[in-house]
Order: sequence, then structure tokens, then C-alpha cells
Amino acid sequence: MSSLFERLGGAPAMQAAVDDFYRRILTDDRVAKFFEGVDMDAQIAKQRSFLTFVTGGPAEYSGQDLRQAHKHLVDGGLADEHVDAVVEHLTATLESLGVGQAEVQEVAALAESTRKDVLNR
Amino acid sequence: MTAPTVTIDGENLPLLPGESVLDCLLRHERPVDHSCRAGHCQACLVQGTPAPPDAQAGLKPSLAEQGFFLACQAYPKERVTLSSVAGAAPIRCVLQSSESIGEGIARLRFVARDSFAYRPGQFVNVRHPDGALRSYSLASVTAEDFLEIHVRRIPGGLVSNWLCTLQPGAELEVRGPNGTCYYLPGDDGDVDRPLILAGTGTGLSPLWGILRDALAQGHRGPIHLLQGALRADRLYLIDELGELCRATEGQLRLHLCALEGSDVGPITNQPLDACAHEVTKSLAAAPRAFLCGDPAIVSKLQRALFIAGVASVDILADPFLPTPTPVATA
Ligand SMILES: Cc1cc2nc3c(=O)[nH]c(=O)nc-3n(C[C@H](O)[C@H](O)[C@H](O)COP(=O)(O)OP(=O)(O)OC[C@H]3O[C@@H](n4cnc5c(N)ncnc54)[C@H](O)[C@@H]3O)c2cc1C
Ligand code: FES
Repeated sequence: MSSLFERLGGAPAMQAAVDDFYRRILTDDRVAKFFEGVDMDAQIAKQRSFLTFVTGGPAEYSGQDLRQAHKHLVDGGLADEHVDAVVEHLTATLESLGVGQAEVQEVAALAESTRKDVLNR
Repeated sequence: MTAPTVTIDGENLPLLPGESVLDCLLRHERPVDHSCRAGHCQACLVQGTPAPPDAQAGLKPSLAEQGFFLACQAYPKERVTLSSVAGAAPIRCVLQSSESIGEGIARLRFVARDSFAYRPGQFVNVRHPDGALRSYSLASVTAEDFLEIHVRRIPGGLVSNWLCTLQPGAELEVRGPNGTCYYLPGDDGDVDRPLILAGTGTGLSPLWGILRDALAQGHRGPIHLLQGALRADRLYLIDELGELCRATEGQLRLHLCALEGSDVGPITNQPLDACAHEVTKSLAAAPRAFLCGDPAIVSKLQRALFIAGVASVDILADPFLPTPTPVATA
């Protein structure tokens, strides 16, 4: 069976999904503060590889990189509640694209699997 | 795999951990052009194999294919053999006129001796007699037979002050053009989409070029030009913009924002990003946006427009990054 990434329309469709996802994050006071002053283009590129990864598309994603990238945020207070919020937005984005419940759960589980590395545990 | 090394003219220069190709060359007293050190100005273009792909982001495909890459963005994991560190070919120019057009802002018009093709809104790297390079955006349109830049005098600034003292007839050397912040008619229907052009200070320079280029290329949709300044007397080109507003019969709309000074006539005290948000929300169709000038403000505008619903691919940003002051070498 093809991956959700392919069924969503591959890389071109990912752009709109990434915008929707990142916009939800930036307008959520719980997590927006972690994105203050960061380069938006670079951030969007990162969100694109994250979404590509969790929908089963071609993305290189290593736990080591994730740890490295989030280290300073964890020092600045990044915790479980913030990861929860991001997973919530991911779910909302997929639902807005018409992805079925079973698959949304699968993606959420894959996102969940990065929690340990993101929080540097 | 070999240790990270830069090979040039048969000499092997080992890279220190975390060192860019640019820093390695400079440490070994190999002169290479550079300016922003942030992958933006393209002054540090070098040619070699294998070209680190990360250091080719934003390059013209024709340059990337020939193995050009940006030395300041190159952190190779193996040996890279350089065939050229000469950068882009220099274009010799002669200054035609220099005129003050605003508080601390000079308009320089010059003519290229060699053939020079560009798109309004792109920038050139101007060389100071000492060899230092700084980027300046092109405000002229291709129908004009001169190149125009707007230079803000930075107190203590090397190149901006030098440029402002040049007399007509002076020779100067530029490289480029570089940058992707310019108008393309794009796909069907794009000429009817709204445009948002926003910036502060000399960020207006590329916007003035892009604005007139879009009109010349037959753009039909509404165009909103947002100019911001700390003080009202720092806004410039007001008369020219007003004239263009009248000539385009409402297609062009001006939004002038100054944090200090008179809240009179067309000038408001609204912060530029708030104005950008409001304008975006008032539009009937999805706009394309061009943002130029002070990096902190460009970044704020980018965020404001994105949150207001503009697609990330439709926002072109051209932050005027200052050149980092070199760290003293022992
Ligand atoms: C893509 C791009 C396009 C650009 N287009 C234009 C343009 O069209 N017009 C224009 O005038 N400039 C433009 N710039 C900025 C320009 O390249 C120079 O950075 C600027 O003119 C200062 O150079 P300088 O040699 O005079 O000062 P420098 O000798 O480099 O700097 C002197 C001191 O001033 C500080 N400084 C530098 N810039 C500023 C600033 N803006 N405000 C306060 N302090 C500062 C520096 O940190 C340093 O301490 C552009 C930059 C980029 C990257
Ligand atoms: S792009 Fe390398 S110095 Fe500007």
C-alpha cells in the first residue's frame, strides 16, 4: 500500500499542509514563544521534513539531530505539554485535509515516537 | 574518507572542526570576496568539486551545475578541490549622478560599461577600493538606461559613506546581479492577484524597482505599497509614489507608517506589521508579497503576513543583513 505521504499528493501537497500546521503553531500562545525570532524559511523547511517523516515520505530524520536541535529549547522550558500541543496541531491539520481517524492516529503515534529525543530524555 | 580539506593550486588546507571553506581560506591568507557570511549576498562564490549541496541553496541552476557554491555556507565532510575563487565577473561602471532624495539617503545612478542584464529588485555587490563588498538593491527598471541604487549613510560605515562622496564620472565596480526578490508574471491569473510590497528605509529601493517592473509587465491586480519609518521625515519618494498612484487610477495604494512624528494626512502611527496584517485581511484574493530592508522588520512582516494567511511560497523576503565586523586575527 502507498504511504499516506503519497496519497496526500506527495511533496507538492505537503507545502500547503506545512503552512497550515506551522500557522496553527505560531498562533498558539502555548508554543509560539519557542518560535520567536527564528528564521521562518528555515523553520518551514524543518516542519516540512517533520511532516514528510510522520506521513511516511522520504525524509532523513535521526534521533541525534532531533536532540541537538531541541537542546536549547528544553533548557528554555520545553516540556511534555508543548509536545502535546504540537501533536494536537498535527492532528488538526491532517483532519482538515480529510485524513481518516485511523490514519491520523497512526501519524500521531509516529510523532509520539520522537518525544523522547525532542525532550532530550 | 579523507579528512575535511580544501585543496587549491595543489596546496592542501585542512579544515578546523566546524570551519567553513571561507574561513579556512581566509585563515590561510587566501583572499576571497565575502560580505554577509550568511549565504545571502553570494559574494563568496567559488567553484570546485565536489560542491557541497547545502552551499548551493539559492544559486542559479546554471551556476550550481558548473560546481559553484557559497564558501561561507560550505562545511565539507571530505576533500574539496577548488578550481576558482575569483567569484563572479566584475562589471565596470561609471557614476552618472548622485543626489540626496531623503534624510541621509542618496540616489546614485550609474552606467555599466559591460553588458549587464538584471531584474529590478535584484542587488549588486559594490566593491570599495579597499576590496570590501556591500550589497545594494536595484531601484531602476530595465527600460531606463542607467542603474539606480539608494544608499543610506550609516554612521561610521565604510562603503555607504564612500559611495555618498563619489562625484559624477567616478568609476566603480559591481558584481551580480543576485537575489530572487523580483516580479515574475508567473502562471495564468497571477497578474490579477494582489501584490503587497513592504519595507522600511532603503528597503523601498528594490520595492520601487519591483513596483514599476510589475506595472510594465502588465500586472493588473491591486498593488499595496507599505513604507515604514521611525520618524515621518524619514519616509521618502512620497511625491513620486503619489504621482504613480494617480497615474494608475487606484490600482496602486500607499500606506505610510511612521512610529514618531505627525499622525497627519496619509501618514499613520500604525506599526508596519499591524498595517500589513490589516491590508492582507482586506484583500479579496490571495496576495503575493515582497518584503525588503531591515532584517528584524522583514522577519516581523513575514510572520505577520503568514499568520494573516499568505502562503509561505508567496512571500519573498530580502533582508538587508549588515556585514559582520571581522574578528581580529592574531
Ligand atoms: C541583499 C542586500 C541588499 C541591500 N540593499 C541595500 C540598499 O539598497 N541600500 C542600502 O543603503 N543598503 C543596502 N544593504 C545594506 C548594505 O549592504 C550595507 O550593509 C550598508 O550600506 C552598510 O555598509 P557600510 O560599509 O557603510 O557599513 P559597515 O562598515 O559594514 O558597518 C559599520 C557599522 O555600522 C553597523 N551597521 C551596518 N548597517 C547598519 C544599519 N542598517 N543600521 C545601523 N547600524 C548598521 C555595522 O554593524 C558596523 O558596526 C543591503 C544589504 C543586503 C544584504
Ligand atoms: S553569501 Fe557568503 S559571504 Fe554572503
